[in-house]
Amino acid sequence: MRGCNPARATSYRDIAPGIRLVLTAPMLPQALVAASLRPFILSILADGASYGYELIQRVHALTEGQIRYTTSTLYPVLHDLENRGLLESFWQATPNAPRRKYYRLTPKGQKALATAQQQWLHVHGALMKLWGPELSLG
Amino acid sequence: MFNLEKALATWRRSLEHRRVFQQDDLDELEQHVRDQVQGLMAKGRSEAAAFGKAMQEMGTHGMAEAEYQKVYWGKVRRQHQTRDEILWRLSMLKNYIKIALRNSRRQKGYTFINIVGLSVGLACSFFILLWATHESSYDRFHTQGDQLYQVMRHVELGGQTYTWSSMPMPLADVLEKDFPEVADAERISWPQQYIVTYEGESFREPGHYADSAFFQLFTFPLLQGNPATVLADPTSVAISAGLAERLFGTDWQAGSVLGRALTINHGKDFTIAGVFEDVPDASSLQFEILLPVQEFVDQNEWLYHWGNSSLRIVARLKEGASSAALNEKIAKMIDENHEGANATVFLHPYKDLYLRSNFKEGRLEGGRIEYVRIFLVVAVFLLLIACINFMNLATARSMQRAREIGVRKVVGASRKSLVGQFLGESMLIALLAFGLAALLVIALLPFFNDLTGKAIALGDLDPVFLLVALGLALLTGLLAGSYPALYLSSFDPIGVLRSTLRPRTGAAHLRKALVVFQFTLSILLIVGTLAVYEQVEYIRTKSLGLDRENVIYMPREGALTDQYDAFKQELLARPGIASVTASNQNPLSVGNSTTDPTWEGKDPDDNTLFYIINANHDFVETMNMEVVAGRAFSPAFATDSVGYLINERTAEAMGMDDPIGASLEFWGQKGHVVGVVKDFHMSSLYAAIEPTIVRMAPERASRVFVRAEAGRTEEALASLEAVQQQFNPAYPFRYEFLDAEYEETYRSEVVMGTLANIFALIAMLISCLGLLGLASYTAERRTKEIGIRKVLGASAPHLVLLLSRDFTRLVLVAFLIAAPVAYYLVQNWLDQFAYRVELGFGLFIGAGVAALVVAWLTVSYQSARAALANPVKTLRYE
Repeated sequence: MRGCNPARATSYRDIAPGIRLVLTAPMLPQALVAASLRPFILSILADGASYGYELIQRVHALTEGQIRYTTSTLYPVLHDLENRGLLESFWQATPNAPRRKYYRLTPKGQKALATAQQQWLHVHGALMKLWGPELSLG
Repeated sequence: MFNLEKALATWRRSLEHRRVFQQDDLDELEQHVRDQVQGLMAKGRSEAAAFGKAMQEMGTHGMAEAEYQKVYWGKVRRQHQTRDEILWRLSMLKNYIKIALRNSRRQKGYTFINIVGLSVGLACSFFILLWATHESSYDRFHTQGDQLYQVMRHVELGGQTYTWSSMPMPLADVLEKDFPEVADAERISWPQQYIVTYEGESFREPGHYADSAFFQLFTFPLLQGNPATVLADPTSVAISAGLAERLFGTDWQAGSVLGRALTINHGKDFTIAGVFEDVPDASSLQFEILLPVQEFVDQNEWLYHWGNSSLRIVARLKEGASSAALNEKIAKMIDENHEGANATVFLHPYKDLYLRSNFKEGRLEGGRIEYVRIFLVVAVFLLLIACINFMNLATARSMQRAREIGVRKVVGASRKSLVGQFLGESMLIALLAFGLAALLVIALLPFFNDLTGKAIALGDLDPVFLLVALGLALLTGLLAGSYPALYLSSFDPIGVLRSTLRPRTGAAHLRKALVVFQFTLSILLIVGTLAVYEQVEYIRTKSLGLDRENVIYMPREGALTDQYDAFKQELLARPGIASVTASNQNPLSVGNSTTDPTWEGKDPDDNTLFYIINANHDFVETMNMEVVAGRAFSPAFATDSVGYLINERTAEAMGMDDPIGASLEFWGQKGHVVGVVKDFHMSSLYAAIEPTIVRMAPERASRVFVRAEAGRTEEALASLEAVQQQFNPAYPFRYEFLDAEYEETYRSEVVMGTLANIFALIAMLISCLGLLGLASYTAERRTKEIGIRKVLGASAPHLVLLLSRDFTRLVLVAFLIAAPVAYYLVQNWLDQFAYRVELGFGLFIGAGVAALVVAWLTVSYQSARAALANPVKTLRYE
């Protein structure tokens, strides 16, 4: 945007004054979906142990159907986080649930989550400075 | 009815053999699918539809496998299974090797063809590489090599441009004094033989005169003496370590030999001021002894004249000086000091002297580098031919391995691992071939050295060379294995295991193309060999205008200078001697030339170059030259002391139909033409015959030529030695044969002819090995067809013809491609010679027929075996 007129255009409002922008959440680009996978996993597991299928469902619900990870994307990432020591896994069966492989955060995972939060908030904050408070999800 | 448990089990089995999915992963995935199916069924889908949807989301196995692969090693490490994993991989490797060995043992013939073909091809290329490396190492050992230049000149005379490296001596001084870019201008005389005497013992040693900067310009390390001063004193001498050993014994290094006096040519004494390491093989300058150039200059006053030339000059430029810029400035240096020289002086990089110094009409036209290039191409050809055998046999025999590939694929081998396996196999064969080739090289190196006249020792080999050789072998393995690996690994396992897979026609076409390519290369080499052979034979047998056989020559030195006539009479009285003469030139390689001759009616602008031979009586008779007009020199005519014999070209150049009696003047001597001899080849067949004058000058005739009676050479030699010892007891006896000397001139052609011969044979051999393999494969594949044909009444000859027809067609196509290419290349080579054979069609037809016959012989053995087999047996086959 700054490319159009670097002297004046410092925010959306300068380009389209008086118009309230409404984001209708279009198809998310692949890169953003992929980048958000790790923060999603870490954040959901911060609430307690969970398993693959539930993780996919949770993200699906949280994003109102916008993001649906496939198994071949999710599980290798879970295994990778486990290889790096951010997660640990255990098998568990309860009387009313079949045997499933659960994942939970390790202390190292907690730290990684805190870092991720900082990073995402930082980006988010910077963008909000440009977009202003009027901007909201419609 | 859809059964979820069954579907899950089937799905799970399809993933189970894939190594990246561990049991734990599969349990996890299975539970995921179950959860998802339940979730979807809760939304009202049927079980079958829910399962289908879950599978769809799972994506393809390949995709999942790739993702799991990325984290696989991390998992192995986390689970502390690295050791097991490596052991598993090693066991796979063991399996690959075991299968490879089993296959090669089961198919001994094919393995033999592959390994023999590859190792012979590799051995040949190693020899060629050794030779080429040695050739290009010439004159490269001088540390200041990049600053050294041979001073040369193009000279335009009589409408032709000659290129000479003989220079007027004053040019050296001018270069050194007037051009700040030139650090040194070193004068070096042409090589000659010196008689070196120490304490009564004499040796003949090659050497030359040189300026005192010699050891500072060139890198010939001194074992004793100071490089800066070694030739500074006009009475000093430098000798090689080898000569020092001959003179003073093997322990000469025990003390200093500096200061000892050597008598040169039974005249002056010179003091040893330096001993240098023996001159390496790869040096253009070869010498055992060096004398100060001042001695040569003092003996030859005429050297000071700009119109004369009898020295080489090597200039060392200062660092960073541009030879191109200097060339512009020095171009006319000779003409400025000597009118009508028509010379363009230029600097030729000294390190190019050996490989690139053929000048034609003033332009650089390569030189020995051409041979280096030709043979490097031959090396590539041989390797390609061997590679093609490998490819062809591997793809042709692929059906044999189809089942193995099918099974491997079914139990989970990826295409990548199969490609790896087959490439590994070809590399293994390449390595084996490399080992064999190395053994061949070691075993055959002495013969190779003998043949090429080199002294290559494996001990001196650069380690880089070994790496290059090994790399070449592996590259060959990679190239040979690449296509088979891609082809074999592409088999569809289901087709293979149901035996519905048919060999692809694409592969068969490629195989044919490759055979055509192989035979094209082989025919090219055969034609090349035949052409070189014919030219060499032409050189050997060409009538040169004189009879070079049975002529012995030796230096006229010592007592012979004054007592030549007595010597001649004594010789003629001995057995075996037919006639005796003296001359300063070998008439087959005349090196003395001048533009000086004048005659009545000569055009003042005419600057034709005349070659001059200083001779004595009986010259024409001894050489067996043909006198076409007038007569030869005769003692009966006192006026012959200023008489000239000329060749036909001279008469032509003088524009005279009847030159007998015409007056001719040069070098301050006026005389007349007494006879005309038929043109003879006074230089190599690369050059045209030039105008040549034989001059009666007994005092300058520095060599004695003796014609032996035919068949009595041994006797003549004994007579010559006896008489020589009688007159010159202090001079070691040394002689040359005129014909041997002549053949020595064409040594590189002869060597090249022999090498080309060998390589063409080997190329043909390797091609035929491949053909043999293919033919036996074809015969085997068509066993049943042949059986049926036989039962239906086909005769054996008919069947042989049927089986040979395909190969015949391939060889014919190869011939059609090779013939024009060969024609072009061979004409190009022959064009260098002023006198050459004309190539007939016969040569090409001969090469084609030879290839065809050899191919037939190769194929017919297999075909005949198949055709003669009992059809009852062949039809029961399988």
